[in-house]
Amino acid sequence: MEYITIMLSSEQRLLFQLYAAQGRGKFLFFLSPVPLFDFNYLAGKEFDLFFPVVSPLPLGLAASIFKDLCGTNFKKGSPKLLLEKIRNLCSRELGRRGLPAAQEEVAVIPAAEIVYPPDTLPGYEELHELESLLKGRLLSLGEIQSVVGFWGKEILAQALQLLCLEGKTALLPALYRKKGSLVYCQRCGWEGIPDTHNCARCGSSECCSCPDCGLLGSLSFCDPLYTGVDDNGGDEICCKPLLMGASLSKTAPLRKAPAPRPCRWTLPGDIKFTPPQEAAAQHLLKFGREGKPGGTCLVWAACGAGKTEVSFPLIAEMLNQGKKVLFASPRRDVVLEIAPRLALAFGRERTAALYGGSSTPKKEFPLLAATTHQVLRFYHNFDLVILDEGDAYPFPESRMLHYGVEKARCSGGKLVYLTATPTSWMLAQARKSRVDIIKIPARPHGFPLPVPKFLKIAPLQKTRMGYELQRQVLEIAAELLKKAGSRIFLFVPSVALTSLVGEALRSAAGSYPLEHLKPDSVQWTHAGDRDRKLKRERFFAGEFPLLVTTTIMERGVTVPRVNVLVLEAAQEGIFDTSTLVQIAGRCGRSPDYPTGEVWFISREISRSMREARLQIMGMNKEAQRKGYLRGDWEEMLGRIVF
Amino acid sequence: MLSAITGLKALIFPESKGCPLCGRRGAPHQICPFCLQVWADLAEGLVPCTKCGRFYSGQEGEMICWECREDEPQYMISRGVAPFEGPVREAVHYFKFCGRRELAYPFGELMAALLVQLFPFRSFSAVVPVPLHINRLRERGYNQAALLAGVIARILKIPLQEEALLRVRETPSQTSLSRQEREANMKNAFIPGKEALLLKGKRVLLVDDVYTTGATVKECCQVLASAGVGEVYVIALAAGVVKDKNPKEV
Repeated sequence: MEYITIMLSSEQRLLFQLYAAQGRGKFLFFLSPVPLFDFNYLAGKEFDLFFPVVSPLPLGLAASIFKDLCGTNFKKGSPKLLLEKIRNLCSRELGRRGLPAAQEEVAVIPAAEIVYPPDTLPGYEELHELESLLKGRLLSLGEIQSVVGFWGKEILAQALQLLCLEGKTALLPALYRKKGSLVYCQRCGWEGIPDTHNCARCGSSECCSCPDCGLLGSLSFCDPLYTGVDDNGGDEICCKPLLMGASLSKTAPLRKAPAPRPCRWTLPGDIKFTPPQEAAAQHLLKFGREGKPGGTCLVWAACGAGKTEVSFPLIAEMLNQGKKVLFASPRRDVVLEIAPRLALAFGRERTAALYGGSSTPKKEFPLLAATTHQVLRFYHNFDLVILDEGDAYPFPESRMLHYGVEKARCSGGKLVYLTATPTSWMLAQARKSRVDIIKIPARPHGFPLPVPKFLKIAPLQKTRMGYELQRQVLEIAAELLKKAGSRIFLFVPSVALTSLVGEALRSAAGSYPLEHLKPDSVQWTHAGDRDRKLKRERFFAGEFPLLVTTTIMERGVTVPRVNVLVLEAAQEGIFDTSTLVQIAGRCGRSPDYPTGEVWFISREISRSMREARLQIMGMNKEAQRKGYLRGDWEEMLGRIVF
Repeated sequence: MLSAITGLKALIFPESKGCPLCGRRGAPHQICPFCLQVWADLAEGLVPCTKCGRFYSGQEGEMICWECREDEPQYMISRGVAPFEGPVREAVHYFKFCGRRELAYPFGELMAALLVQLFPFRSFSAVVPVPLHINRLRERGYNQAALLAGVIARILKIPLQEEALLRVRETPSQTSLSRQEREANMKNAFIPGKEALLLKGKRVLLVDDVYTTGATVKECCQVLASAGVGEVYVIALAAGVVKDKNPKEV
């Protein structure tokens, strides 16, 4: 019989059957990878006749046709007419896509003829767990399988289909054709014309995969994605059964979400907000309460000004209202560092962390710290997204990550950028939202930021024996190292230069002007260095005073009593304005050593160097103007004995 | 409207396809000299076993490893393009698990080049990929060894016999298994397919993506030998690295 063929083909290949079901005074139209399961389930819901409309199709195609049909006004008329209309529309859609038209006569399967093995579905608790897992997420079959583990593939497909039929989950094609051969990926927002290939999963010779988000697990034209979100927020294809005349809910309704408990938040230790932090926190709260839905706010803080904590009052308020908050960062180490702080402030039961290599939490957490790559697995879920260090690689250049952050916000959800070096698009977005930029221009210790000094010489010279550093550079280094416990971060623009400059410093050690420096006091590191973490820790502990490094140390590194030299600082491809501001921000972070020297050394002064200095001076001026600097900072700096 | 513009843009200015591994500009679908150098650097200081092709550290000159001496494999020679470490491991991971099937072209080219270099005057009657179980194939959507075999067959103009071997038993992942466990895991996993009949007494090239302990390849060779295949040569994209062992010199 016809339906047996359908079942067999669906078992072997990942194909979706478009079907219609008719009952007394009700009519349903949907698609399924396990159509017999659907027919069996619907037979229990007083549906008498089932009509597989066309042969099973890859989901990307089946879902496009389904969406087009759902958009058509065919809700009026008798079931027979409706069916005829659906079949005609399917034929037209298939013809438009260059595929053979639907069968002339639609096979009709009466409910009495359906033979289906006994119900092997998991119990209510397990289904509820699956439903909780999908809340706010956007997961592929493979990802769901890896979390639920022990379920068989077929049982999982059936369980997901059941949730879809009951309207608790929606089915999305991972990829679909937007127009002509233009393909769109619903996970990462990629749009383009991909290479086609033979696919063993759907059997099509014209299947394609998303070339952008394969790192999160490959997605093809035939792959489904599942989400537990009602709001699909746009013109994406999000398939839910089209039902006329009845409701299908079988299992008990979802347990009511418990009323949000008042959320007590505390800052770790005895830290209290400084006046600029307090002002920023109040501004943010105002943005949360009164800001335009879907608006963006920018918190522009000086490096080391304590911008993360400033967002805590707003997070607490959102959590108190039962809303969901995402704290995202492009950098894994930022997530690893912030997650315990959030857990400490808001309670472990409310907080989860998600990054490459972490396990997927089975339930939903109202407060999530995640890397921006992991955010791609969320779908219109968060009422507030806080993006920390959004200017860090690879976020600014990555279309995919931008899309992920946008997609993770529910409609009307708000976005807050926390950064020390805002990019032009952040400033543009903040301006578009007509929200004042919130600035935290001063560090908690109340001293101004160290302003970079320029030295216009070629720092490195080639000699017969190799490379040598200019005498002036060595003199600056010697002068800085004279102060007790003082250390130097020496930034260079390339990996090759780390060892060249390191060797040059080692050979200069022991003779004037670095006569007090031992050769083994100079170390160098870069991204490919296996001992990078160890060297950073040893440098932090003061085991050696001079570390030559690439820009890998530009962020997230706090070393006491450190000074900064940047060689070849005019290489704008490496040292752009934000990198230079971040590098300068390594200096003077601790209250014991609130200053330090920053030198940009290069044969020419680049625009980025000037802009970085202007930005830092601007912050200091603003801090001074608002009275955030301590009154005696000049006097105090003179008194501090280094 | 926007999608029409995007489509037009994609048509007029197709996305620049540089090195498929690092994205550097260059010839499309070809691994750039920088990545090739990184791969070559990985093999520095390592010597491949003349029989199984696995890379051994701390050796000089030609040698046969103790495993091949104690339990001589049924194939003639096996070789891998690069040691299965660091960036090569990462590249294989992208190829197998991230849907980057377009990597089959550059990888297949590298394997074909190695074959020409190793056996300039030897001709093969067929290229046979190590098969995947149907369930795994459905899950992944493609068999990476078959894609590599297809490219090699096209470049060297050798017939591709995809169904000479069939995998009839679904075996669990071998990543965490020891050598003995892998051998037991692979037992009776393959049977000769209908195309194996055409290969009686012939010289065949068996293609796999990674050769680690050789359990899979050995089992395939046994099945091919039982079907009457004359000689089997093995080529893999990456071969395992053995450290801290003391292979005996030839």
